[in-house]
Amino acid sequence: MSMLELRHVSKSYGEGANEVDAISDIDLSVERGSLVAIMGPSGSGKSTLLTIAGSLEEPTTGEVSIDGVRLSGMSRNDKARLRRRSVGYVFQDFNLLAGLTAVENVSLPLELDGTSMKKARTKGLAALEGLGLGDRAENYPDQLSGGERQRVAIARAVVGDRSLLLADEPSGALDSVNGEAVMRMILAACHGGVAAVVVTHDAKLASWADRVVFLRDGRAVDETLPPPTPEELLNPNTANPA
Amino acid sequence: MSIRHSLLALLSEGPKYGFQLRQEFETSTGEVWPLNVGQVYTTLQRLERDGLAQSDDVEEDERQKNYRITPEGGEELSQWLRTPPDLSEPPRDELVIKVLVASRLPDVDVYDVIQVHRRYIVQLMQQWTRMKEDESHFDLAFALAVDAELYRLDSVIRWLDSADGRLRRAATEPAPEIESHVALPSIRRRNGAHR
Amino acid sequence: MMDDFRVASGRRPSDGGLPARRAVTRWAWRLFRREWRQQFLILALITVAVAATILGSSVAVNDPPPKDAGFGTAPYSSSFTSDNTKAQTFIAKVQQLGTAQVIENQTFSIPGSINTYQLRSQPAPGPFGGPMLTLVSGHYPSGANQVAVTSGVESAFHLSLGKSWQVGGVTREVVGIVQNPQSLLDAFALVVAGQVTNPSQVTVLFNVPAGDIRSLSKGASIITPASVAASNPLNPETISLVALVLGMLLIALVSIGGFTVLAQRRMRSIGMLESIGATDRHVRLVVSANGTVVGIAGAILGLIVGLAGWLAYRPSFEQSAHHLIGIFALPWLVVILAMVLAVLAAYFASSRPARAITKVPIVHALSGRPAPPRQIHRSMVPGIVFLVAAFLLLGYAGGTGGGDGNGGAPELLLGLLLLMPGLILLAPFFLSLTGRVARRAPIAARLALRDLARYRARSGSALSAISIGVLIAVIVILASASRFSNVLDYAGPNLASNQLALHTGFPPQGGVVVHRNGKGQLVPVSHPKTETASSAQLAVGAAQIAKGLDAQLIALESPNANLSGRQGGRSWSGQIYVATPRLLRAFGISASEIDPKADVLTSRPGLSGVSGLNMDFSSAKQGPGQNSPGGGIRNPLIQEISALPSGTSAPNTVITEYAMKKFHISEDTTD
Repeated sequence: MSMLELRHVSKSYGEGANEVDAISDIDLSVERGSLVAIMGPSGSGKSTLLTIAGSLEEPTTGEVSIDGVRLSGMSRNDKARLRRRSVGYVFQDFNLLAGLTAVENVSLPLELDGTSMKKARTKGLAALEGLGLGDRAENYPDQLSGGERQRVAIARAVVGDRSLLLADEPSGALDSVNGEAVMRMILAACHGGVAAVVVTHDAKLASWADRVVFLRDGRAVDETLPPPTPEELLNPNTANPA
Repeated sequence: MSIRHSLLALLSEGPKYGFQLRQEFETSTGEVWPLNVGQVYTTLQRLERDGLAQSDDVEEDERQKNYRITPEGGEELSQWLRTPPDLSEPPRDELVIKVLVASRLPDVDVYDVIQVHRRYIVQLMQQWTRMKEDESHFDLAFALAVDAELYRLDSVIRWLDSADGRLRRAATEPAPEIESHVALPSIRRRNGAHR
Repeated sequence: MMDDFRVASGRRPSDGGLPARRAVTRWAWRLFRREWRQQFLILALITVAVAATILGSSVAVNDPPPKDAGFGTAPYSSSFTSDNTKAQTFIAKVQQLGTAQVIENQTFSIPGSINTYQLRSQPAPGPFGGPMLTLVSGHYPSGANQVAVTSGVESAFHLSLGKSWQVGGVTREVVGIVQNPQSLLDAFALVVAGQVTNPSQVTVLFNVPAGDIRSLSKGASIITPASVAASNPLNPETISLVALVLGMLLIALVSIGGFTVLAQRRMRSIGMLESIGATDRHVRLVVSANGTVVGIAGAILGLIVGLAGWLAYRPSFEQSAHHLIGIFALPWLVVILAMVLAVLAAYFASSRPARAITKVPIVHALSGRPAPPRQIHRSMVPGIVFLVAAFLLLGYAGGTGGGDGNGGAPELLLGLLLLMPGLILLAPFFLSLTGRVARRAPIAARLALRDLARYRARSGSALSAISIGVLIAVIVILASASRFSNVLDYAGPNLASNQLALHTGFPPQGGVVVHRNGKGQLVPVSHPKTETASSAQLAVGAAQIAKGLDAQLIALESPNANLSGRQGGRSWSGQIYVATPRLLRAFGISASEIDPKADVLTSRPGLSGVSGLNMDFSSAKQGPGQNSPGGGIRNPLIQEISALPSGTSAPNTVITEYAMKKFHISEDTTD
């Protein structure tokens, strides 16, 4: 069963003559451990797709399911709980709360869920150390570099064994070296069982994914084929034509 | 593609045997560009003929010959390193031609053509990235070489995106007056540019 | 993961419970610490309000004399002014039942002054009199030939420690300076018991079992501190509390706007918080926790500032209040209430924006763009209806106020009450007007006005607060104007600086009238206690004082007549005099100015238009010295002459000689 499932999801804004379709009739399925990239020009609806998948917005039509549970029947509080426990979100910039240290930021979803401060802090420190930021745990966001801030954001998005990671242009504000580091970390999380969806316009970053979905004008128009397995390579007849 | 300068570079580290040079060339470029054996030895001979390298003529077998760089060779090497290649003339790009053709043919969906190529290139990039990150293959030279390829492919994607946008805008705007074809303005070639 | 989700929801509290609230509050506290400058205005407002309340209520509460003034520590007190024997029997009765302290006072006047002082015998300090008597320097009198004086008496008679002083025919030595801490104006000379031979007042402070009070009260009137306080309905603590509540209401209204802006600035962070799973309650907690922290900080700062102000002002306040005030004599209940109310006001002011922010969709909050202002289209009609009704009522109330002054009060109140919803309903239209006005304004003003008109959520509450503040000021002005414009219960200015009123009524017992003898010395005219000066002697004395001051003397004669009547709930007050030719000449009023038929001349503006006045008088038909009921007329003819002085104590209203003759009014010769 896939971790994230979108079925015939559409979203439109405005009414009557002013109606604008942000996304139309999108189907998407993301399994555990897989990294899916969503590419498209600006205005193609990539960010809307992500906010709907992350329960931050409701689709006009269609069904979103996270780990088999449909979002349409959920109350506001249930959705909030989902965001605390199952879904991690990473934005392009401005991810962290300015008044809290790095480790406090990372432990925040756990604390909001009722975990005691001490336990949450332990888990938060572990997540930061896993990303190489153990010594920056007590720094405030304005004392961290851009790359470090994004890493803290990723730590927060995966802390507490969350299983779905949604990232909207996570490397958008970073240089290429830091951008790659971010993708590397997301991939590492996928190897740990997380299902990840990354929205990007950069092909180099999208190439980290197992599967790339192309969006245009709110529709999924194309998708990369999975890489040939060793068997297929050995049998040229079944190999994909380039 | 000049491998002579790469060989000169290897020689500048110290005298080497022919077979050494061939091996080291492949490793130093991360085995991305495998070489024809004959090509290496032919190039070495040419280097010797041009006075940029020197061998002791003792052996007949190229592989056993010991080569060493000459002062002229050293100068040639440093000159080559500092001089950018002549990129003033754009190479004939098959993809560009395809898109141009597709945009003119009335019964062809140029956007479809663009998307097919886009998907293909992204798939390629996926493979390159996977290879680069695969730990057993990690070495710095390899990473640099693969990065170069990834950036190259990325630039093609960017051009495809840009062409996509331009074609769409042009489709919605009224067609301008078509003047007689003006040849692409050429960029003045720099003196001493290497090919 | 799936099972975790379903099962765990049963184990953990649905909204994160205490750790969540703690985490959110921690963030709110950090926000306050980092961004306190943005909240500076609200913080300052609350601080000022709390400090002002503390200082103001302390002053208001301590300004009147202490509740037990005149009682010391005794629960009961009784005074006798005329009958000394009655006092002695009472004292004897009390001493049988309990403890008594006797204070005898004899009044003397200070020469050349209208002030008097007391010759007082009081046990120093006595069983109950401790709070009423303290020693400043020297020692208490211990013998018949010793006296201790207050500093007022000391300077009036040029005394000092060790000097001898004659009072009441007895020479004594000044041995100490004393004061009454509960009334610093109390001027007295303290002597030992038995030295006051002819007391004008005997006060007994006593304590007896409660059951015996009834038997004692048969022969005397007994008062307690509570009965004294009850006669004064205006409790300063109550006034302070009312002012405090009103002030906090205004501050809360203004603060709503401030907290709204603050919340809108934090929009992105709050969107972020919601995206990691904070519920609406958590978000509301952030904003209201921030508000509460501001309230607490403001309350504490206000307490410090208020206390500092009190400590600084108290010494000079003691002088103006004329009694000593303890350092910690603050109304602690009001102080604590002020602090609590400050926190509550800040909490409630921030809870409205807190609720509004949770209604913003998460995606919108994340983008950080300010929400476009919602255009609410309301009709102007209800507001105009209220306003017109209010004005009609107020006009009606003013029109019917003429009669007996009691009419129009309910209309007035209703009119004022209807003004408020009218203003509130019309406020949005005034706000949008400011936007249009802004077109011609310089750029800075234009930005501010346009912002005001567009973002009514922020500006609306501040506007109402300011409007209510102005409304209060206007009501105060109206109330005082209506009070002081009443011509019957006249409150005019003081005497002009070149006028002096001399009252030469008979001096208090034991007083002295002086005049200059041929050698230019001031000598007493009469001997105290045995004679009263005759009016002729008094006139001589007055003339000499006038000559000494190089002033013109105008003798004021009082007729046996007075005006009476009511207007606006108030009755006639003031003394009327006779318009003698000398008086008229002195104020430059020529005979041609006067209406020959006028009965009364006045400088009080508007008096001639008042209907329903009576003039009551006694006729002299029956001969001098005998006052008969005489009669009265309604609506005497009053002429307003502005040349007459307007001072309250000056002859602002005079009765003409024409009226004196017409009604045969005699002069009051008892004065």
